[in-house]
Amino acid sequence: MIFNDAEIAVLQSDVQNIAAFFRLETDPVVRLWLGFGNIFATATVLDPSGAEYAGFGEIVGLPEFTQMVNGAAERVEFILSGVDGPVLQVAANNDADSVKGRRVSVGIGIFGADWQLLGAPHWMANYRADLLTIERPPVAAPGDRIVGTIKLSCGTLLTSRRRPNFSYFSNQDQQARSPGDNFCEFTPRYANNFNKKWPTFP
Amino acid sequence: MAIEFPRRLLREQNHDWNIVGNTAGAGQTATASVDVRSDGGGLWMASLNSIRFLDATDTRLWRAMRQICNGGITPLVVPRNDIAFVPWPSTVIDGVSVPHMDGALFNDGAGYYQPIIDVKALGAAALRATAMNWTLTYCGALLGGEVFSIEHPTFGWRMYEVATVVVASGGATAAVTFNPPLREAVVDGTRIELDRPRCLMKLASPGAMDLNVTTWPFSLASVKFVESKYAA
Repeated sequence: MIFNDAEIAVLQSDVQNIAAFFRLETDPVVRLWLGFGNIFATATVLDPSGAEYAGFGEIVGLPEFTQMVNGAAERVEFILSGVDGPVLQVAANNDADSVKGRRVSVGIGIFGADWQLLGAPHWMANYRADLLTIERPPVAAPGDRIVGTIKLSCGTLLTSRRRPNFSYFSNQDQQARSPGDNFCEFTPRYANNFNKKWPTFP
Repeated sequence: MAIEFPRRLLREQNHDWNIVGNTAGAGQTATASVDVRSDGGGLWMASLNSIRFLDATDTRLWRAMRQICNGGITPLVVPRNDIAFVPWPSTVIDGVSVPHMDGALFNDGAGYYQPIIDVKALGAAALRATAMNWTLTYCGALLGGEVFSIEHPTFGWRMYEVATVVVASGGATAAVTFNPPLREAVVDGTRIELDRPRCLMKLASPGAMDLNVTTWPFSLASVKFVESKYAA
């Protein structure tokens, strides 16, 4: 990660203005940052011509993540709480499938004292999105505020490497390996552990 | 077009308008005390406290407003009572109400309202800028601490507070810095509203406009708003 001179000067000072940036590579790309209002970030590796990030304005729980150096693959959960209408719509609108396997990037942006970005966001971690769930816990009293949360579970590229791949000669697995191939279509008809008698010909 | 909170009718006894944000302290050591701010400039929060209901229409107006607010779904334009701190020109005539063409006022005695202070943006300002140049056509002395609003094309009325002012020699233009950062880019010549600053807000919680009616002598009610995230 390379910081420019202005960013290093700010990081050495006593007050640091830092905000987290979140990018989910769906179509269209979801770009959020932990602050209020929209912000334009200059070019990064992921957006060569820069892009506008929507402010979340409300609590965004970013998980702790570690750089994977000789370590175990990890799984993290991004939890957005205080989620209201439009965001819930994004989550509920059948997008659970469309986020699966997409690239999730988390980074930080460093601001000057006047809240201007001093450089492009620095991406610190990349994940693969896996599971999107919505939670709306019941409240005790009818007047209590319901806090809905969206949870996006993500893993690194190596997270599920020990899980067996599609390894059966069943039609489902064959379709996953090479869609449209009918080679294993009738394998369920073969019974296991059953001795078929050789016919006796007259 | 968002509905305006009727502050002329529902007058609060005190209010607070503050920018809220979060700061994380990294602790005090012998060598350094480091603060990390991660809110991106913060957002407006306002509470109008102890609004007095003098007759039945006030209570009904309150009820109507809270139904319009819809538990915080519908944003409102909330004016800030800042009249004592507005940079009025020295020759301002208070309470000018403009009559109809034939000189008549409305039948309740009120006329049209028109803003007095005339300040415009000099040159464009980018999204999230915290500094602008102003053309001061008709305005009192700017000292810093003034509150102004800009009606953005998509985000509607947003409020900002002046930090520093440098008035050019001659007094025709000024360079100001302010907070929070601009919610939307501003084009050259945009009007800066200093007379009646206002901001697009929504209820801080669905119960923020709950009403407790006092039978005698009068009811007092309070309301809490936060700046609306979305476009007007």
